[in-house]
Amino acid sequence: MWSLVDVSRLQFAVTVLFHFLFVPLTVGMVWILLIMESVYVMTGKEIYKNMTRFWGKLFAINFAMGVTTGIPLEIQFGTNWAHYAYYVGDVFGTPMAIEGMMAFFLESTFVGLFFFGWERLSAPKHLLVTMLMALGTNLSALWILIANAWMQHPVGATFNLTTERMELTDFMAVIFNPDAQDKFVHTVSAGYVTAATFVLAISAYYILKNKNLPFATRSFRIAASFGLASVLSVIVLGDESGYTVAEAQQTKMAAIEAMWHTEPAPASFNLVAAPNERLQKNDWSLEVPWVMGIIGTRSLDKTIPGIFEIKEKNKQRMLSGIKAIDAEQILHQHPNDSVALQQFMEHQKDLGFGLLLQSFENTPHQFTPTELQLAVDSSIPRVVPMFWGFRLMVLMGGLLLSLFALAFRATLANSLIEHKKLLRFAVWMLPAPWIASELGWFVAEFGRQPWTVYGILPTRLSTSSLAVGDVWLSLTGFVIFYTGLFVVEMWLMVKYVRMGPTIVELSGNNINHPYDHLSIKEIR
Amino acid sequence: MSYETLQIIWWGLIGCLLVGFLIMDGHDMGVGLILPWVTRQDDERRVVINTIGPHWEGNQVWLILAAGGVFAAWPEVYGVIFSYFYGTIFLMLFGLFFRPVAFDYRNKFKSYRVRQIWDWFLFSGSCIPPFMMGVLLGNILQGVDFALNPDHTLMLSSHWNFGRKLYPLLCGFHLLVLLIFHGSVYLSWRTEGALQSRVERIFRGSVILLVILYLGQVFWFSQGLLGYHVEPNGNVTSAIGLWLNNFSKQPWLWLLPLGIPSGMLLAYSAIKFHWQGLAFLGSSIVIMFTLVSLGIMMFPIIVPSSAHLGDTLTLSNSSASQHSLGIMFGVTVFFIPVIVFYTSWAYRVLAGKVTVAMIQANDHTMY
Repeated sequence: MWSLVDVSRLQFAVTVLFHFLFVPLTVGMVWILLIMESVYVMTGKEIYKNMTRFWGKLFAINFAMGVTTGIPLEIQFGTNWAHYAYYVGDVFGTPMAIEGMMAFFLESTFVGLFFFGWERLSAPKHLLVTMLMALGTNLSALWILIANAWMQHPVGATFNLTTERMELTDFMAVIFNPDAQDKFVHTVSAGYVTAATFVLAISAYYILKNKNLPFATRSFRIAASFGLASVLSVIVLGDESGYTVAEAQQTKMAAIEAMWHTEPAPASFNLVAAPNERLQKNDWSLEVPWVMGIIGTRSLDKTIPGIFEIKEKNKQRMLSGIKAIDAEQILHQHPNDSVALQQFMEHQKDLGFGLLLQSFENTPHQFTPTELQLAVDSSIPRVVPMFWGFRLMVLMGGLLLSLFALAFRATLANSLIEHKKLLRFAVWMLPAPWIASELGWFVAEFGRQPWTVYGILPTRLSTSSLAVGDVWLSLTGFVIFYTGLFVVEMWLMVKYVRMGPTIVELSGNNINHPYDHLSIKEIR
Repeated sequence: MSYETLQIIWWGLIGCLLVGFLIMDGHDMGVGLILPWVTRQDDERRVVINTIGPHWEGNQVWLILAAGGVFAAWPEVYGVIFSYFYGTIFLMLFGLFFRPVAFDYRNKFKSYRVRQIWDWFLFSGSCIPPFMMGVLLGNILQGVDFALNPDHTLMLSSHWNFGRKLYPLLCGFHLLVLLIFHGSVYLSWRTEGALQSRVERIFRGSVILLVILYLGQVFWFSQGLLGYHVEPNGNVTSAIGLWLNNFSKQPWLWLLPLGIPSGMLLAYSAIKFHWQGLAFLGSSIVIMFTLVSLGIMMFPIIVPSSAHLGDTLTLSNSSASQHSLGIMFGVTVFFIPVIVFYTSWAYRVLAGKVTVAMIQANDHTMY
């Protein structure tokens, strides 16, 4: 039987994974468009303008979906996660609002000018529009990732006993959270790789079909260079993220690695394994010595805690945290009770763990050993999905690295048509960045469980007061609408890719655009 | 800056965001509402769509920002309202899905039959969201039947009473008429000829309806609606006509709602003289002073609880921390003027009448 928390989580997962089908392409495409248009403005070669307009058309189809599917995410924090909104809204709401002000307005206003302003704006002015559009989309990624990074590593905020919520105390700490920096560069790089793969694969398709060759080879070249730089960036930042995660979220690291016990430093890396969750061990594993220790701790002598050790520590934290909760109870009735205040202060850092234990209590203010064990077991995310999700993502990354390295080398050689195998490889690799991106988010979010805010607020306590049926209903609505939207969007995308650049994009200034050579005064 | 001052500033800022939304996205939605009724001809429909095509997505961000602003400034209100009114909010949300596809995909189909379906999508996307917002407002004005647990979560209850739904439905309708009024002014500004005349006919009709609706609201506030008020000692009381208490306490405040008929008069006369830009100022004034009046009326109550007065969400018990409000204030005060600046630049670049000739000349690039 699915609980309210389960269905709420499912709904958020469905909507956010769907949203993230469109975002990486948007975030990366803007830079490819900017590169193409810059070449046009600098060299005056019409073909680059036409390339900007063609890829821009595909970008438009994608952008609309990104915006449409983004709105429900902000809304869901209120509709489905009301206690989360209360408990951490003071901190979390701020980057969300800034995202709206700084980024959403910029990208949405200038996307309109990008499409409709070709005739009315001079070439340099239109380039500025494209630049601002690119800035807007990437700033959007920045702020939402600052917000998400706070969920993973809640810095710069403290618990207020009177208002019973987390409150922002150091905004700079939130902005400069090392998790935020890693996440941002890693995630946007993934977006850049996605866009580069998109352009590369479709260009390869045209080259294989011997269509639009001047157009396709130039696009391929740009995508190959941009893609190579991006895939290197995403991998380096992936490593960086691994290091920050090992510090801030030991449970996530342990689950990703299926590291049941702490190993002597430097820990080995499980290349592949068969994690057995029931028995809490790996049935077999193929290990690479030392690698995990080096990646996770950047040292040869620091250990990485294993799952058993973490659970033991969590158990102690829960027993401590429950004391903070008890003290809080007393302080409700008697705000001036100094003994209770003392007790609260002593155990405040484990308050979140106390909440987690409390969420398993059937009788208020009492827990049985079974309930304690349940809480302790819940304090680690499920290992099997984390282990394989991570590895599949890295596999995609490795394949994409090889693709872009080969593609880049081929463009230097200047005879793309002959590289049939490479071109086919490029076309087949189209889904790879999408698979990697979705898995990345899965690992990030599923790996943070059982917390919405790590160590502060359990997911179980973050939901709204709703009937499960209500959430099933809204989820059904999402599935119906999103399926319909997706079908139409894909139909259009495939149609326009198949069609290739049309007369509009291939002929530039001609009879189709009578206003091109007129000034605005003459039009009126 | 003291915490109280910041809270009052944020009362104003949220109001500004809502005004911004209704003035900017409001005219887009108004145009979408008018679309199926003002013409049957494909080229003319494209003219109507292209008056808002390049701008609507930027304008929609005001709504997203208003929601984000409520989340940041009044986090408890965000959770309580959005989860209590789960159905209403989701209907509004799903309603928002209709517009982006309508705009982007309509012209990519050749058949007028299919295009007509997309036109109804555009209409729905311009009708359902504002209607639901009006319903939400009406519910809030009526007092919401909610109670809070000690941990500030909503106490789960079944809450459906048809009698209490009539007034919110009327508020939804009122908001639609207001947007049609505002949208018709904008559309009259951007079109010409026979199309423009038909738009102006709709404008005149909306004016008459609006006068009736506004008078009805004033009557209802004073004679029929259970209003809410915060006593100096912090207690919340309710009685019929109490919403107008803030005005009775400071009678000069009655000058502000007068902005509504003034704006309507300005818009009406300006349309007659074909000064549509001035008329748009007039309709914007109507919107602004509608919200100002509501803001004065409700201050400092955000969400009154009819079930348990003590759980009423007010400015003092639902605001974010001083630190957050301060940071957000600084960011907002800087960015809103910047946003207004580049938005007006975008409108200026694409200014002028949209005509059938323009559509035919730019068949592939315009919507």
